Amino acid sequence: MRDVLYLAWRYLRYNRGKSAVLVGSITLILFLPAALQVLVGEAAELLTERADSTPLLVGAPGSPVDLTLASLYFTEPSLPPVPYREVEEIAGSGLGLAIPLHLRYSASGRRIVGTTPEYLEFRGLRVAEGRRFALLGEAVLGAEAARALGVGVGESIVSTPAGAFDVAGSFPLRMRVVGVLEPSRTPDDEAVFTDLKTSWVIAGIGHGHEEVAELEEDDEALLLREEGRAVASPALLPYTEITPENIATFHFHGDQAEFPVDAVVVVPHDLRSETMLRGRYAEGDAPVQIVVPRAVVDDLVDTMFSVRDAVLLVSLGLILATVATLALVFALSVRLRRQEIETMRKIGVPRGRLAAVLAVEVLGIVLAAIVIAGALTLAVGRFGGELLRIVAG
Amino acid sequence: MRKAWLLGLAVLTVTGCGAPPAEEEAPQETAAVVDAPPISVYVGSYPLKYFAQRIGEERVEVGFPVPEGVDPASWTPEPEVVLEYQEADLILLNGAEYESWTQAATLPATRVVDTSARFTEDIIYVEDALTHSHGPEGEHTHGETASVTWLDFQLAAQQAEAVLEALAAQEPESEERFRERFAELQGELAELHAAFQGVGDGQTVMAATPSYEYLSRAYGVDVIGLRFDPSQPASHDFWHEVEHALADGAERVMLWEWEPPAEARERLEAMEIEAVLFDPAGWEPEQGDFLSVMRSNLERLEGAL
Repeated sequence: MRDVLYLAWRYLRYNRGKSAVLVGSITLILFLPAALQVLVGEAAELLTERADSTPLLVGAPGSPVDLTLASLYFTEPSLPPVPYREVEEIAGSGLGLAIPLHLRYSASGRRIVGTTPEYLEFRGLRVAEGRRFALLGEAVLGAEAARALGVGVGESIVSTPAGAFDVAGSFPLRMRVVGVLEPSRTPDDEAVFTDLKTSWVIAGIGHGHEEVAELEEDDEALLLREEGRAVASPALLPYTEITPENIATFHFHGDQAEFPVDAVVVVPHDLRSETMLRGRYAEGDAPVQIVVPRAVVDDLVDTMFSVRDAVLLVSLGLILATVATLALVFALSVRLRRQEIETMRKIGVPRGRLAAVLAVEVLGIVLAAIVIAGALTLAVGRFGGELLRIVAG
Repeated sequence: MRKAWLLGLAVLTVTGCGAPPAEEEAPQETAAVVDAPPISVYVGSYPLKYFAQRIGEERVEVGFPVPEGVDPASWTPEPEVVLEYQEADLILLNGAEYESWTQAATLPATRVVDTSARFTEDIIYVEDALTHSHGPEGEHTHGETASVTWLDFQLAAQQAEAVLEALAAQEPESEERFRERFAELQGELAELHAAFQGVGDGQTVMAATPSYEYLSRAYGVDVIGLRFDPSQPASHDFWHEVEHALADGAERVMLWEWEPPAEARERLEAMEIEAVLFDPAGWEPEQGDFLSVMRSNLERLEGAL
């Protein structure tokens, strides 16, 4: 047997180019379907894990998928906001914890998540550096957001206007970074967290300013002062940075119950509470919808698996074609080696031995491809999650 | 006969070996509560600290980190102090815009209790604040909400009840004891309310600061709130308003939250106006407690009127 192995090895080594191409081709047709299987499995697991940790979501009526993706993965919300009143009603019902999310704005490509301290507790997010946000205008960055933006504690980050023509609709706000979170391997790593009220300031609902009533008579910003009334120039703009000097002037106009939030994460106290909450919003004329993220994600995952199966079915044809091509390559190779085989036969190599040499050559290539494909698949299994997070990023 | 006697003995033995008496279960339950750490409560005003301590006693640990000498209504906490509030099991706020710092602070809404939320229709809103206009919003008014709600002792009792309910929700097993202590406090607040009834007979008095709206409404004393700024000497406008008030028939009595500065006291004496100390007890008194401070206030007010 050693002589067979020796001859096969020497042949493969001598024709290393051809051998590498054959190993590469077989590796690909083995690795690609396996990697697809692993990646889809990882993606399903990631989606499911995030959804599993979020019992219920409340948002505007519309696509449950849009609401779920925006709330769990901080994609740009496509549904209109709901009034803060919905948060108060859920909290007041005593059925569960209501955590508001404002997702309308971003900073340097990272979603600004306006929320309350309960969100960090709910997600188990811990501060690696600095502290949690405590005042208006403060921000805490996810680990990956801090790394990618090169911003740390003590520095600043500016919110991006909602659009080129949205000059009056939002107010770019420079926020102080007071903390950076520990990596959580979730979409929270990519986000910028701030108080919900800070998001409302960006939206222009809250503002701070010099006390107009205290402007001196010769101040250019003061246009008119009458009894009980002062009129200032539009040059007296709301501040775009909340500082210790002006923070006390910040206030909000209107009824807070009407202020916008994009979603509400609801954590029911128990199964009975969850059932009651879902029943409450199940009525057709409810002004909001309630979704179970796990159910939405299960549908998404089912779709992913269906697409995967379709891709595998298509690739099966390619695999068969590739196998046929490889068989043809081997057959042609044998024909091209006719003289070599004849020489071996003439020097006394039995037919069986000859067949064994050729078979071991083929087996060697296939085994090498299997080993490499296996190693690559294991690598995808190990790092696929990270890869998906980077790609989805 | 012997069989009947033995049967009876057997019955007694079996019933005697039943479950332990009910009173033996209470010490286990009480022990569980005693072993649990006290409820961490942070408050926005001294009256709420008082109510929480009276109702919760050893089951609460109350934090009120306003520095000595600082008015809680105008206090701005450092971020580290706001984080202390965030860590508390319960945050009790007066509401009615008393804690103006909460507009700019991040507090966990699920642990915040606005103790005046149950009587929003009784909140006094001062309409004649200055209006101004700027930017695209146009004219808007920064009116003022009268926030010293506890000077109406019926409202104070409602706030104490809110404290009771919040503590009971935190520790249901102690609810009975909390209710007993609340009943005592409620009784004392009712006595205070009765004592203040009729302290005024429709007279009008002045006050150096606009902090007595609820006292005025509840107890028959019309109080004209002026705007003395303690950070500087009394302005010409202040004394002008005093003269206006006197011309409109106000008694020569002026309520002060603290002892008036010497310069102001001299001028008041020259104008034959009696300065009466009426401590709203927004911050912790150096001596006594909320109820004793209010009784002292009543004595001085009765003496002046």
